[in-house]
Amino acid sequence: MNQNTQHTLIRQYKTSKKLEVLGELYQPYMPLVYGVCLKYLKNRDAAQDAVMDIFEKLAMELLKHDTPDNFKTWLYVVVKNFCLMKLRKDGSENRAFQKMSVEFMDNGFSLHPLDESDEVDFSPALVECMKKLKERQRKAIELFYYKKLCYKEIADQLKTEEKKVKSDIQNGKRNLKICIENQIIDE
Amino acid sequence: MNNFDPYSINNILNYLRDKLSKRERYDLDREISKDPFLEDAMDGFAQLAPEEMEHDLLKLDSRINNLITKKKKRTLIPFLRIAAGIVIIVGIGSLVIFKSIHNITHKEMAKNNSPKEIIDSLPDNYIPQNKARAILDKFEEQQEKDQLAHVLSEKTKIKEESIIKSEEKNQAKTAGKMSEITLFADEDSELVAGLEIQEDIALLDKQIVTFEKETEDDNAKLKEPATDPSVMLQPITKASKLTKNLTVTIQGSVIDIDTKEPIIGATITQNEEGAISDIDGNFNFEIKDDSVIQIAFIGYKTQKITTTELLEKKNTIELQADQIALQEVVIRGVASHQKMEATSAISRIEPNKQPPENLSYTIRTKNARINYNSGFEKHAEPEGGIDEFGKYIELNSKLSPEKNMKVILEFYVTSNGTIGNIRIVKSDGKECENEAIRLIKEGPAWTPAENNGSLIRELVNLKIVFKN
Repeated sequence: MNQNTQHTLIRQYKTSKKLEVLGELYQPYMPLVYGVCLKYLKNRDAAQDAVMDIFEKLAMELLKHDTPDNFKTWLYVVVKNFCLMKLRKDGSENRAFQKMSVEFMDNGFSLHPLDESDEVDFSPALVECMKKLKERQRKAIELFYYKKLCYKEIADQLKTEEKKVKSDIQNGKRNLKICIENQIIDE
Repeated sequence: MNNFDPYSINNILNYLRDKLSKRERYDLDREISKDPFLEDAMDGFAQLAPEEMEHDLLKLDSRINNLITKKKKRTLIPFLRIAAGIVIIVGIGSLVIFKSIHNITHKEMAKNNSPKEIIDSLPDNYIPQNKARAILDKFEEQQEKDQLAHVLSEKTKIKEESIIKSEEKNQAKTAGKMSEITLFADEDSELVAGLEIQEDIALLDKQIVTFEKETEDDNAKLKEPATDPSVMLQPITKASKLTKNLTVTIQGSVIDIDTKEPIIGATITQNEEGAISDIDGNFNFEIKDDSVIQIAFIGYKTQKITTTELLEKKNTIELQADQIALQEVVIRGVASHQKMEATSAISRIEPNKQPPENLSYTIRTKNARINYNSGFEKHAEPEGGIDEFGKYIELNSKLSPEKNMKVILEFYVTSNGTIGNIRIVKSDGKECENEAIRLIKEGPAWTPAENNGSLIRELVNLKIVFKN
């Protein structure tokens, strides 16, 4: 489902208030929502209830707010906040929910230069920064982006766990980004 | 990433089952690293076996579908309720109205008009007239028998049903024939509910008739449902109007249940619309639907009644005085607010100490950048400006590094332009630190910062980049 269809669906829902429309929008993401709820709530029943609650929450929140630019990222924030709220359970739920969702909605998610295209770019800045990375992070990123190995293969090759690989790649990416941005200022 | 959809649940399940091709697995990994949503979700999925996942997702799907269809039904019910309520009001209303009219007219009618005359008096365009006459002719042939006949006509979009009952009653007084023609005009949409009501009323009429037959009480005649068609027409037109506009105006009054005195100024509300009783306790009120009507007045218990109950009470509402005496009211001032418990954000703003709007200010050139955080009117600057300063660094630097090296320093420019307290914030090495300090000390003089007309010491954050 592309963003345009999502926007039309949201608009349709806003005018008609029909849950079928919202369902059409929500159902493709239900596995993801369930997964995130599982991760945070760590309980199958609670996570399933949360998936339902989030749907009802969406039904209200979408009417209150403007159409989010990117429904997926918005939904992710909503789901995460919902789970965190559930875990915290104190404080006024709605206030915090709104506050947080507005904060996140504004930022959006900016793509990392590495993820922007399939082709790896060898800009001097990137190469420079790669050298500065920690050995483990550098290797993981090289294998992942340059050699196109999947997490599992990288984990096998580096004799570590998949989880470690994942976090090495994410941390490496973050460090790279900071490094590249600094270089841009310098130039 | 061709046609592979990393968000398809089948692909995700296959990923968990390790059934994807290397290429597909990589594509999904790429998507995971790109999309924190998917990444989190995958972390969650890892807690379950793929079979459990599949089962749970199916369960969720059906729960969502249930929710959607349930909500749909729920929204339908109120409409049905309102429609049914209106039909009931119409039914009872027409019954009440035609009974009261009948009380007045029946005697003369029964005395003076035979059913034939009654039907003849109907306007010519009245459709069932001919049919009714045909039936009446039959009745005259067999006067001693009770008759029940249904005539249905679907012309002119209106379903009309006439139930004609004829009954031998009092030989001495009249021709001894009573006829009743009940007509119902129903919109198609209310056909079902309407028909039920018709049946109920027909049943009721029958019961009344048999009761009268048994008692053979002359007075019972007054209650007889027998009537002439022209009278019957009135409630019917009223009824069809009501179903179309959904409103009917009620005149009623509000009185005290004990003293029977009118209550002035009581509010009668339904769906947030309402009326106020006047000096005689009377009110005119438009009923829009069958929802509860609320009658309230200070010092009386608020009454909630339905429209049917209101009709039963002949539009007179009796309010019961509220026995509960008002209790003492304690008003307390709250001196402090707990920040944690407040429903809105609380923060203290000191007067005259509000920070100037633009605190941070930066000037930059190719190889140098100066950051200020003071908000002074004029900042401390190297003479000739930042561009000149940049050129000075470039020309006088003794470093020729293999790659770009940078230093961030902080120092004070005092009110007489001297530099003090140089501190390294960040650097790429000792040599560039020392070179930077040397360049600053030997470099151009600095003009001090100014605020409110006087020179003032300012902290300067300077970044120098030594290019290769």
